[in-house]
Amino acid sequence: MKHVRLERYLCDATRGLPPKKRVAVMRELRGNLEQHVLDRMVAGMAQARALEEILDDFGAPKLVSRGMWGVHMKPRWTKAIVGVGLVTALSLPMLVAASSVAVLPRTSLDTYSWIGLDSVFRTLNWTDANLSLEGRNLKITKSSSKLYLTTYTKLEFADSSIKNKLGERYVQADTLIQMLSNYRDSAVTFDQSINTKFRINNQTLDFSNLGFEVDFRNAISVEVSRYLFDYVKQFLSNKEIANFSTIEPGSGYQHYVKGNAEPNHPYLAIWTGLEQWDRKDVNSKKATIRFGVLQSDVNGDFKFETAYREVHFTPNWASLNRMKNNEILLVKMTGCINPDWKKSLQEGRGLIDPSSVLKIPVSIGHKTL
Amino acid sequence: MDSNLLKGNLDLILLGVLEGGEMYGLELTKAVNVRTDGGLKVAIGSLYPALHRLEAAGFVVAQERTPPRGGTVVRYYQLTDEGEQALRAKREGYRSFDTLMQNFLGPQEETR
Repeated sequence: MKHVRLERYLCDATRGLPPKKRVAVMRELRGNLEQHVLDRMVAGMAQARALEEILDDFGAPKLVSRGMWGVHMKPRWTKAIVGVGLVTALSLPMLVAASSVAVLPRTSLDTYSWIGLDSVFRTLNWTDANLSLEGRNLKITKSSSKLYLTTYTKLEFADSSIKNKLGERYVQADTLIQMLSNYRDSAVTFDQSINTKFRINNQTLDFSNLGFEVDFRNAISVEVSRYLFDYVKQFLSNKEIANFSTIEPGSGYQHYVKGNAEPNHPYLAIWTGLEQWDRKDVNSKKATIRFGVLQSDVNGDFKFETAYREVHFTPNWASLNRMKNNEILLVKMTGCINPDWKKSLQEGRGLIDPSSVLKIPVSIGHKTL
Repeated sequence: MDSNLLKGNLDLILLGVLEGGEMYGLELTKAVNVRTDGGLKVAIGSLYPALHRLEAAGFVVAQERTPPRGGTVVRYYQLTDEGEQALRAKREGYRSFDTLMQNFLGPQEETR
């Protein structure tokens, strides 16, 4: 049973839970909701109306999420807070003596890119590590064992501009790989939902809409799961890319993919290939992985301009010569899309059949593909 | 009825219903409704967190299964031995409390 309000309810009612637990609770709630609906249908009510009534009866989803958080997450946080408190108490004298504040070891991180997002999660622009953007940014960094996704905003002041960290989530590479390998059964979340309320100059800024969630549970096959998993694994480990055989110069600005996608629907796009950074220098190619949200047009085609996110890693030149095809993976987005973005992207549309994952070879440097 | 009264005794209610056999969420709410002649309605926002809390405490175990009439799987909850002990203790505690509360209730008003 797929229904926009139902999916939103399930999404909201399980917010904040770890992915596996979230999927399990969603399944339980969905099963019970369906049984409620069946009860009413047996009594002669139409399915759509029955579902609406049940959701009304269920009340605010945050009541469930709050309760579930109390059961499944609070004990963890309590432990963590007690642990941090203990460590802080023990280390306070040393900190005072050193007159310094403990910070994350940023120097050990390797910044990959900045990504600019607008309010409906379209890409505004992207830039390299040393540049900053106005508005909301997602920073992707990596240390030897962790992938960091950090949300930032740049706030402009009369005499300076400051980048302020809003929140940060990091996961062990192994954990992320495990999460990704469980795509089929897990809702993997790239969501910066913690510490999104930020206070500066007595003004509270709420950036809770930053980030996005993609629910892959029904949208991805095992094969594609492995495919995506491999990309991310490469990204994490920065190893050679083995599956590409031709190198094509990148000079185009607009690319099109003729697809058989659902019209006017958001897709997660993962694009690998080469990009020629300096148009005068054919050797200035960098291997790239791009990912982001693309909206199909009325014909079910995609048009690329700057509507992608890019993640760069320093190429291993030996491996570049082995690159063969540029490919884009388009995964139909379902489920937990932030309602605010969903409003812009697909409000009113039914949630989708899970089958479509498009793997389309593309060629960088040609205007029409 | 004061919802805090229900909330404070929700574990007793759920364990008491599960004493009769395993059930999933919807069945539990129906059973509570039937037993109390519609007097008590367990809110969904309280029900599932409470069931998960009881499971975490070891008072119930859950098993995912498709209901007889089909549909998506649901979680059937079943009382454990620890749950039975907890139920007995909660009943005893409630009775003692109720006995004490009688001292404050006064005569029941007749309805005309």
